[in-house]
Amino acid sequence: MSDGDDIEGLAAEYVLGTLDAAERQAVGARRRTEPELDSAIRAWEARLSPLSEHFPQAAPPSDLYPKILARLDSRPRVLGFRAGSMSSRRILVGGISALAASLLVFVGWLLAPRNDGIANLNAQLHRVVDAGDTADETLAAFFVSLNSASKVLTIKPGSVRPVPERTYLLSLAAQAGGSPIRVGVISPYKEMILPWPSGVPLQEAGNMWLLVSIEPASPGSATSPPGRVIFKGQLASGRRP
Amino acid sequence: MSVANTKLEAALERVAKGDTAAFRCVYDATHMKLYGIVSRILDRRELADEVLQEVYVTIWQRAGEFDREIASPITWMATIARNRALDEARRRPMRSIEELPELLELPGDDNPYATAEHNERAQQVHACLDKLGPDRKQIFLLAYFHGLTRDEIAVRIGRPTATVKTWLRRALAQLKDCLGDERR
Repeated sequence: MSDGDDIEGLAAEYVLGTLDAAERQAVGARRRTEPELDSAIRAWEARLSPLSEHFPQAAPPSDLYPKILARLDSRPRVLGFRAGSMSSRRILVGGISALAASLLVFVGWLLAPRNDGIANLNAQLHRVVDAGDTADETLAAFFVSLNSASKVLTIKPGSVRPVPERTYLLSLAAQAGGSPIRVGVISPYKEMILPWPSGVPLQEAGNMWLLVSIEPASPGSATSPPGRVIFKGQLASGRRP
Repeated sequence: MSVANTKLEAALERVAKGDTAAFRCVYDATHMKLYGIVSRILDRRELADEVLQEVYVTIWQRAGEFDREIASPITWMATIARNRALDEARRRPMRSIEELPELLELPGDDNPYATAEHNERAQQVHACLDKLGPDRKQIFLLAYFHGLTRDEIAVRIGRPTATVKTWLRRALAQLKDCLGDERR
C-alpha cells in the first residue's frame, strides 16, 4: 500500500511527527483540499491529545510578550464560526450577515462586467534562483488562483517560511517588460483574498508574472517599487493548487 | 469542564473579537505549557522563542475558529504549538546520534486543566501505549516528545528506516484499535 492509499498511516505519522520535511509539507498542503485526510489528522490529534499534558512547563524570556504584540499589529485576522460554540444570538446575527452577503454577491454578479469567457487560472510560485529562473523545488512557496468572474486572487501559503519583521508583497509584472504592479501584502500563515488590480485587463493575466518580494514589516507607499523578488510564477489554466 | 478551562474559553472568545487584554490573559495562563512543548521539540532556545511568538500570533488570528465541541482550549493551543514546532524542526539538518535524546520514562502529568473525563482518557492512552511493548513505546515517545524523524529513530535504535516505518505504522494501527475511532 502506498502512502497515497494509506491515509490513516500518513495522518498518524503527521500528528506523531515522524514524517520528513518534504512529506510533512506535502501532507500539510494536502489536508487543505482533502477532507478525508484532514479528518484523519484531526482524529489522531484528538487521540493523542492527552499526551501533551506530559510536556514539562518552561518559562520563556520575559520580553517575549511585547514582541508578540508588535507582530499582531500587521496581521489580518481570521473570523471563523463554529456551530457548536455559537449562542443562538450569534447564529441569528451570522445568518442575517450571510443572507446580506449573498444578496450583495448576487447584485454584484448582475452589475459586474462578464469575464468574456476567460478561464480561471492557477499558479504555483517557486523560489527565484540567481539567474532569475525559479528553483526546481517540489513544493511551491505559494499557490495562487484567479477567479475570473469575481476578479479576485486567492493566495494560499505552501512551503514559504515566515521571516521575522518582514512581510511578503505580491505584484504583477508583464512578461513583455514594464514596472511591477502591486497587488497586496500576503501571509505565510493563512489564505488571503485580494482583488485583481483594476488597471490590468483580465485578458492579460496569462501574460503576467506573479512576483513575491520581501518587504519591511511596515510596508512602503503604494508607489514605491517592490523589494527583492524571491518567489515567482505564472498563471495558467489547469488543476487548482 | 474545569474552572480554568471555562475561563480560558471565555478569554478566547474575547480574543476572537480583538480583545488584547483577554489575549494577555490567555498568554499568562498558557505560555509556560506552550513554551514547554516548543522548547522540548526544538531544543534550541532562540528558535523556540521565535516559534512561540508565531504560535501566539496564530492563536490571535484563529481564536474565532476554536470549537469547544472538538477540544479543550489548552489542547487546541497545544496542538498549534506542537505542529508549529514540528514544522520548524523539519527545517533543521538531521541530528547525529550524540545529539539525539533518550527518553526513559513518560514525564509527569501536572495539568491544572484536567477534568475527570480528561484523566480517564489519559489513563486509556497510557494503557494502550503500554500494550505496544517497551521498545515500540520508547520509539513512539521519542517521536512525540522530541520530534524525531524516522531516520533519527533508525539511528537511535540501530535499525533501517524502512523497518522503523513499518514498526511505526503497525504501532499506530494498534494504538488506534485500542483507543477507538475519534472521527467526528
